[in-house]
Amino acid sequence: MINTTFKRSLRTLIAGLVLSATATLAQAESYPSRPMTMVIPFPAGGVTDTLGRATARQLGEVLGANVVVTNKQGGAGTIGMAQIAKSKADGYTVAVVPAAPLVNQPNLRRLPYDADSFDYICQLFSSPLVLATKPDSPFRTLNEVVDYARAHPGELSYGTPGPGTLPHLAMEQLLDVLDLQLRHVPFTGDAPGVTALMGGHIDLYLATGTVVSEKELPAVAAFADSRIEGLPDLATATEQGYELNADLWGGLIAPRGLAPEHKARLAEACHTVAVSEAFRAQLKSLGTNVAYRDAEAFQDYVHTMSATNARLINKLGLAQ
Amino acid sequence: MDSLITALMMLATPAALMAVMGGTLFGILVGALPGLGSVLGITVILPFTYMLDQTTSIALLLGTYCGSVYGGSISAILINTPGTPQSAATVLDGYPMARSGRPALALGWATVASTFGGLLACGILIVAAPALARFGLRFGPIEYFALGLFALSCIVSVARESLLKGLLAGLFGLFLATVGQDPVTGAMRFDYGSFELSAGISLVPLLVGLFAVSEVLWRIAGPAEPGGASIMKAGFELPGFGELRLRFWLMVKSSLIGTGIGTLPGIGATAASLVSYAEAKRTSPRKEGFGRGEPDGIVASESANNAVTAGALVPTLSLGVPGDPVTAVMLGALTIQNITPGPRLFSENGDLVTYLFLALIAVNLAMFVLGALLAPAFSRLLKLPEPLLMASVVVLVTVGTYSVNSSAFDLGIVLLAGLAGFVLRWLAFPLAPVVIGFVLSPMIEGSLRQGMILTGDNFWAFGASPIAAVLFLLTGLFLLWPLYGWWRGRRRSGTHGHPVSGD
Repeated sequence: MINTTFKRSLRTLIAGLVLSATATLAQAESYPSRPMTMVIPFPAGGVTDTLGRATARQLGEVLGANVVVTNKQGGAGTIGMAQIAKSKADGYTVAVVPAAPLVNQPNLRRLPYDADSFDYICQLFSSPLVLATKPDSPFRTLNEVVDYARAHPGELSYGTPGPGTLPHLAMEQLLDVLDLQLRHVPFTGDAPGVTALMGGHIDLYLATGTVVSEKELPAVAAFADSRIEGLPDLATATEQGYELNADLWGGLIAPRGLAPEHKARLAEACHTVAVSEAFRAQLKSLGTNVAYRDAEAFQDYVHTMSATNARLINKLGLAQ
Repeated sequence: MDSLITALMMLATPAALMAVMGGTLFGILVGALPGLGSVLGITVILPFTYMLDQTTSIALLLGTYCGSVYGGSISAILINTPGTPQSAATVLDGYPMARSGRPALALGWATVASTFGGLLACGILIVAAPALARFGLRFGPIEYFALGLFALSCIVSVARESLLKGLLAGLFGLFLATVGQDPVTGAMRFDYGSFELSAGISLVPLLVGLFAVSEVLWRIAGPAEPGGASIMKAGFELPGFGELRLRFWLMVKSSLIGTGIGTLPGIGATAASLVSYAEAKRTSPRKEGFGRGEPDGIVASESANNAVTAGALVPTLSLGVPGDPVTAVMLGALTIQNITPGPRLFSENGDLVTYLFLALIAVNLAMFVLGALLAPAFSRLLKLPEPLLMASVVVLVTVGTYSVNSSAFDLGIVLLAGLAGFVLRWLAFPLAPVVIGFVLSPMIEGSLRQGMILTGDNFWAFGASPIAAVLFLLTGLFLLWPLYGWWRGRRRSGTHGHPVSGD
């Protein structure tokens, strides 16, 4: 009697174990099986945030899971990046990040992460930059700016959203190539910087095409391969004889060490999102273009840009 | 006219009206909970606006925005903790008034002043938004530096017991804000190798610690104060007509200060209400009562901070440049709704702009009604036994601060700021100048250094800007004013005399 009861319990126990094991197995197969977290290293409401939220929704639909957005702001994005880097690489933490905290910040100062701390899923977006001038500026072309700056070194000023930001480095690279001297006036973000340009307090500002067209700012060149939608009359730098490109770009990343099957699933979903018409329309309303690179190309690009920027930062003496 | 009727039709839908009420109610609650602020309120609302149409989203966002700024005054008055940074100046007279047994009337004053400030600023926004925005553009780094310095000089009138201690407290605030990244070179300052500290100290944890936690510690360990929970009447009491008439022009002036400062991007409601408070204290015939529960103090602060809400919408809507961090988030929310604020909004989307103005007026009225309805419930809080109330405050601020950024580091800041606040109180240093210094520090430092770059390191060139020159002059007058009063007082009586009135 006792024996049978024991046997039965044992059987139940084994059955239970087997069942739960299959359940775990099934769970592993049906990744994701619970809500995911998307970290955005910038405050809610900004461009990165709106981009991230749009991605989160689309990604959630494709993966069939809730993707909950949390904003972790501060330190030019580095606080959030550090949190992503130390999160568990279980496939349930992903992040939409712009390039600056990946390819600039780790070269500027010692941080608890670097470009190798992440798994790269796919690049999603890119917004070409435009050299805008103050409203009553006499300059109409890039050549006029260059000629004037060459004749009057140190007289023109340009604003940036902060020291070590992508537009700052892009501008310094431009000045380096052209061998020009301009005064750099760093602001805290695009909003105050662009306002200062609109008020004529600075001469030049490297901003995205959307900012320039919405604020109806005059501009002298677009740093893109082809002319920008919304600014069809603005010649590219290449057309004007300066082969230079500059953009704000970024994509989907995760903490380093994802299981290969999770990474593959995410990469596939990321591709689906990137090519979808809904995502393209959403990004367009935010003034950004879809610019897809697969996991490997994205990772290579990050490393290339990081190395380029590291050289530039050293040359300019910006590093701490 | 057609546009007005169209806009009225847009507002007179059940969904829009519910959004006005719901948004305002939510805003008041978020504002009243210390630690949660306007930005968090808007952020929480943000995902909902994805699913709603334009008109409902706008009403919801405006309600949350204005409601939260008003809601901050409730906890400022009742528990000596500004619910949002914007209400930092409301604490100065709101809390003493509540302590002296008139919390209902203090809430009444705050509600009347908030609504008045909000509505007057709405009127200005409707009439003069594009013109104001164009004027705001004339403020560059040099003008901002002069304005920051001018705002800083209001420490002189907020310092209660001693000018010297007020100035020292202000310097402490200025210094605290220099922790983190250098705005021009990007170098790290005072981070002591701590990665979290390299991002700087955030305003909310600092404020919550400085006011709320230090208040709790003060009640536990500080000298016993007369008055207290037992004698307080819960409720909501509107100020009498005579009292209102007496302060009508103060309300107008404070609202104008708020609208003006709100119009300039990047200064914010916290500075506006502090400047307005200082100005009221300087000129009020009842200045002796400031700091002891004088309604003028509440009126000055609350009219100004609610006027900023409409003021900050001026550059946001007409230039696409956010006036403060809250409107920055709103700007993002509007973009998602395919509304592109900027020079073209007024000409291309006139109906929508009119609707937005009407919704803003509706929100301010809703704020008044909801404030009157909710205030009794809030003031009943004070009937809680003190240990329970203080414990709840600690729990509330801890949860509130943590929920903003899920950061344990921020909780450390809350605790340290609480201890610092306690020590400052113990040594009879005023707390408000710390906040003034902290809030203005990034602007003063950043604009000074940007200005120096632009003028080629020639500080005297700052005076070439007419706006800056006027502001420098006003700053000088503000600083000399108490000295003049002191000199005149001495000449008259020959005996007493102190630059600033005591407490």
